[in-house]
Amino acid sequence: MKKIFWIVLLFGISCNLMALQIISRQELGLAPFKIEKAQNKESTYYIVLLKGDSELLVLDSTFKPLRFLEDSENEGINDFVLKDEKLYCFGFFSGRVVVYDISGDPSRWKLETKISTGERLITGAFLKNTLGILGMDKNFLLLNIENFEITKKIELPVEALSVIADSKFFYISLFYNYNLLNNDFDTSYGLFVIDPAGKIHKKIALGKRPSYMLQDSDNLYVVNYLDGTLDVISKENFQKKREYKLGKLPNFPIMNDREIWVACIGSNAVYQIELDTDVVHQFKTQGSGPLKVLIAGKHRYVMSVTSGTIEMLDSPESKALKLYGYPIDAVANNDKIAVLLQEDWLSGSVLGSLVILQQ
Amino acid sequence: MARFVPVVLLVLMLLSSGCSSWWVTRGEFRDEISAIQKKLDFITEEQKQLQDVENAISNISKQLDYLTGSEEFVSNAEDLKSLQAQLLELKKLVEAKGELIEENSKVTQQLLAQLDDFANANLQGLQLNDEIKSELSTIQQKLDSLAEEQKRLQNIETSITSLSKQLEYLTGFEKLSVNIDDLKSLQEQLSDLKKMVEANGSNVEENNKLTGQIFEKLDNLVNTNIQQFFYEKEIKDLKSQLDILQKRYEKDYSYLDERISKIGDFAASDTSFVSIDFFLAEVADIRSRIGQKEIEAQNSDIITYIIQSGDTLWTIARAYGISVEELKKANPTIKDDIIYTGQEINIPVSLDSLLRSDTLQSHFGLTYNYEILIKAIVSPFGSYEKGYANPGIDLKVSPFTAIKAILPGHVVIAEKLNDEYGNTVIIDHGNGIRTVYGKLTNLMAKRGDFVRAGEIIGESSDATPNLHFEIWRNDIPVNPSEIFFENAGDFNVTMYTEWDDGKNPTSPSFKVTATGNYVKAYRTAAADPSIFPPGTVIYIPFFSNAPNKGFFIVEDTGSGIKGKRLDIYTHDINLASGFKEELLVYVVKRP
Repeated sequence: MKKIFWIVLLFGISCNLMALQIISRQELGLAPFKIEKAQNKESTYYIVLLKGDSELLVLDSTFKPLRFLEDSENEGINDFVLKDEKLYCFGFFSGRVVVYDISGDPSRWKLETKISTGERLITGAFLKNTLGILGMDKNFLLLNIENFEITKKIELPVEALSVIADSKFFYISLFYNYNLLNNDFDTSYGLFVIDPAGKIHKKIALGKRPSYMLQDSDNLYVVNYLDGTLDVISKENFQKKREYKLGKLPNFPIMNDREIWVACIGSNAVYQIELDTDVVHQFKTQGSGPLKVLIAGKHRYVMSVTSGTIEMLDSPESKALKLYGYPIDAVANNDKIAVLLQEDWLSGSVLGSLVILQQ
Repeated sequence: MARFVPVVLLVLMLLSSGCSSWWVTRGEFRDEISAIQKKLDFITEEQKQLQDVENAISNISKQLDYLTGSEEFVSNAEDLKSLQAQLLELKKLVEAKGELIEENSKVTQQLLAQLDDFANANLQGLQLNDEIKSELSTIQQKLDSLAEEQKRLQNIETSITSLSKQLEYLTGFEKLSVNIDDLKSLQEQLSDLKKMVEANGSNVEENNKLTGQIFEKLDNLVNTNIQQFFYEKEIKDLKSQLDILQKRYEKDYSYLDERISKIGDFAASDTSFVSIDFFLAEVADIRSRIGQKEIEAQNSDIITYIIQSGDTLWTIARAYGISVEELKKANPTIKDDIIYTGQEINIPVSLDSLLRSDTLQSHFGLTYNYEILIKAIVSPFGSYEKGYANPGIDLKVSPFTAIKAILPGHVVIAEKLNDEYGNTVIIDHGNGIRTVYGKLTNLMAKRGDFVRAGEIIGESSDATPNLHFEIWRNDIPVNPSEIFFENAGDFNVTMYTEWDDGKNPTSPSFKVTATGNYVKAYRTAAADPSIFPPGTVIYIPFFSNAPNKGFFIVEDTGSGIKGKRLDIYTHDINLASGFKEELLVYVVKRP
C-alpha cells in the first residue's frame, strides 16, 4: 500500500510540475496578431503587433510592456519583419513601409522613415539588402533598403500570401491559385521563384492554396492549405520531390532541427514530420482547432483556437490549459511563455490579451 | 428462452382472468353502476310482492284459525270456497312469484358475474381506489344475501302449493264432512308457514335495510361518479382549452419535432454533435414563441376592461388618456356615470398605440446597447435556472431606477408576494393583459390605483437581479421580447468561421468583416444589408443561454446571405459545419 501511495503521490507531483500555470493576464488592444523576438546589442525584447489598432507594443525579455511605438496607428499595419536592428512594418491601409530604428534601449527606438508604395501591403522578406514586399493587388515589389527605392514591381497571376527568401531567390506562395467560388484553379502555378533583380526564375505547380513555407539549404516545404498536404520542392531543380499527407486545414508550419510540425485546425491533430526518416507522426489534440505549435525548450506545445487551450504535445498525461481566449501566436523565453489572445473570452470585450505562462 | 417465461405466464394470467377488457373507462364504470341500480330496483319490487304474499298467507291463517276455533265440526262451504279461491289466487301469485324468483335468481347470478368481471377489470386496469373496491365487495355480499332469501321464498312456494292441495281436498266433498284432525294438521302447517313467512318477513325487512344500504352506497358511488363527472367536465373544459393551445402551438411543436429529428441527423454526422447546450438552445427558441400569437392577436382598437371595486369613469379615462365623454360614447349603456363592479366596458384605445418600442429604455432605465443588454439580462424568458420555466425576465437595471408601468391599467396587487418575487406590483391593463413588476425595493403604487403608461410604480434595488418583469395575456405568459423588441420573424440561420473562405491568419482580411471590424464569437452576424443594415442589433432567443444572451451585431455580409438569412460567426469549425436552423429573430435596434 505504501508503495502505491508514493507512486500516486510522485505521479501527481510530476504532473503538477509539468503543468503550465497562468501567472499574468493583461489586456492589450484590438486584435493582437503577432509576437516576435527582437534582439539588439542591448538586450532581448519582444514586439507585439496589434493589428486592429495598428499598434506596436514593445515588451522586455520577461514580457513586461515597455512602450508603444509612435506613428503606426494610421498605417493599418498587417505584418512586420526584423533585420539589422530595424523594424520594417507593412501598412495595408496606408501602403507605406514604416521603418523603425530599434537599436539600443527601447526608450530610444524611433521612427526612421516611411516609404510610400501605392500598394496595400501584406508582408515581406529580405534577400540581402532587398526587401521583397507582397501587395494585396497581385503585385510583388522589390525595395532597396539602402536608398529606400522601389526597384521593381512584378505582377503576380493571383493574390499571394507569404514570401520567404534565401541568398538567391524570393519564394512566393500564390495562395489564391484556387478559386472557391467556381472550384477551379485560377492559375496552374502555386509558387513563383523570383531573383533579386525581379526576374521570375521558376513557376511551380502545387496543390490548392499554397500558404506558408519553410526552407532548409536543399528544399522548400510548402503547405497546401486546402489539399491538406506538405510539398517538398528541391531547390536544385525546383521539382516536387515528395508530398506528405496531413490533416484538414493545415496552418503555420514550424521547423525544429530536422522536424516539421504542422497543426491542422480542421482535424484536431498535429503532424510531426521527421525529415531524415520521412516518418510522419500524428498527435490528436485534446483541444479543438489546433493552430500553431510552439517549441519551448524541451517541450512542444500546441495552441487551439476553438477550445482556447494550450497543451503539451509530448506529455499525454498533462491536461490542456484553458486560456479563455483565441490564441493566435506565442513565444517562449526560458521558463515563460507569452501567448497572444486575439479574443479574450473572460473580459468579453473586443480587445485581446497577453497571457504569461509559467512552464 | 427462460427470460420469456414470466411474460408468457403474465399473458396467460391475463387471458384467464375473464376480463373483457384491459381496463374500464370512467364511462363504462358509470354504465355498470347504472345497471346494478336497475337490477336492485327490480329486486326491491319483488320484495314488495313478497310482502303481499305474506299478507295473503296471514289472512288464510287467520281464517283457518277461525275454522279450527270451534270445538265442534263446523261446515261452511262458502267459507271454504272463499278460502279455496284465496288460496288459488295465492297460488297464482306464488307461481308468478316463482317465475320472478327464477328470473331474479338468473339476474342476480348475472349481476354477480358482471360485478366479478367489473371488479377484476377495475382492479387490474383502472386500479380503482380501495374505497370503491370495498363498496363493490359489500354490494356483492348483499346480493349473496338476496340469493339466499330467494331460496327461502322457494320453500314458501312449496308450502303454499301443499296447502293449496289440501284445501282442494277439503273442498272436494259435496257435503261438509271435514275431519277436525285434517283441519288441525292444516292449521299447524299454516302456522309453520306463517312462522316461515314471518321469518321471511324479517328477512325481507333486513333485506330492505340491506337494499337501502346498497342504495345509499350506490348513491355515494354515483355521487362520486357525478363528482368525477363534473371533475371530468372540468378536465374536459381544460382539455379543450389545452387542445386550443395545442392547435395554436401545433406549428411550434411540429417545429420541435423537426428540430429533434434534425438533432438525430446531426448526431449521425461525424462532424456534428449535439450537446445539452444545443438542446437547451432549441428549447429556448421554442419557449420564446410562447404567447407570441397572443400578442399578435392584440390588434384591437378597443380595450375591454372589467370594472373593479373602486373604479370610476374618471380614473379609467384619465389612466388611458381619454375623456370621460369619449369613454361614455364608447359605452352607450352607461347611464348617469354609474358603473358596477364586474361590468365590462370598452375603452376606445389601442394597446398597440400605447406600447413604446423602447420600453426597456423608457420604463426600466436601460439602453438598447449590445453590451448593456448582455449585462442587464440575468435570466431570460423561459430559462430553467430556478428549476421552473421563468414566466418573465429577470433584469439588472441601474440601482434605484424609477420603474414605470408599461401600459395604463388598474393595480390589482401592490405588496410583497413572497421571497422570490419580493415587493411586487401587478397591473390589469384590460384585454386580458396583466403585467408583473417584481423584486422592487419601494412600491409607489397601491392596490386599486389606476396608473397611466409611464407612471412610476416602484423603484429598483441594488440587488441582482433587481427587476422581474412578466407580461401575461389570457393567462398565458408572453415573451417580453415581443414588446421590448421588433419581431422580425423566422430566419434561416447558419454559422461560419474565419476558415470557411479559405483565408489564413496572415491574410489581411482574416477575421475582418465587411464593415472592417474583427469578427467576434457571440457578437458578429452576417446579414443581407437590405434586411438588416450593418450596425443592427438583433436578438435570437436560441442563443439566450450563450455568453451574449442571444444578442448579436450585424457587421458582416456574405455573397450567399440574401433575404431572411443570417450567418452567425463562431470559431468552432465543427459547430459551423453542421448548423442550419430556422430561428426566431428580433430586431433590438436599427442603426
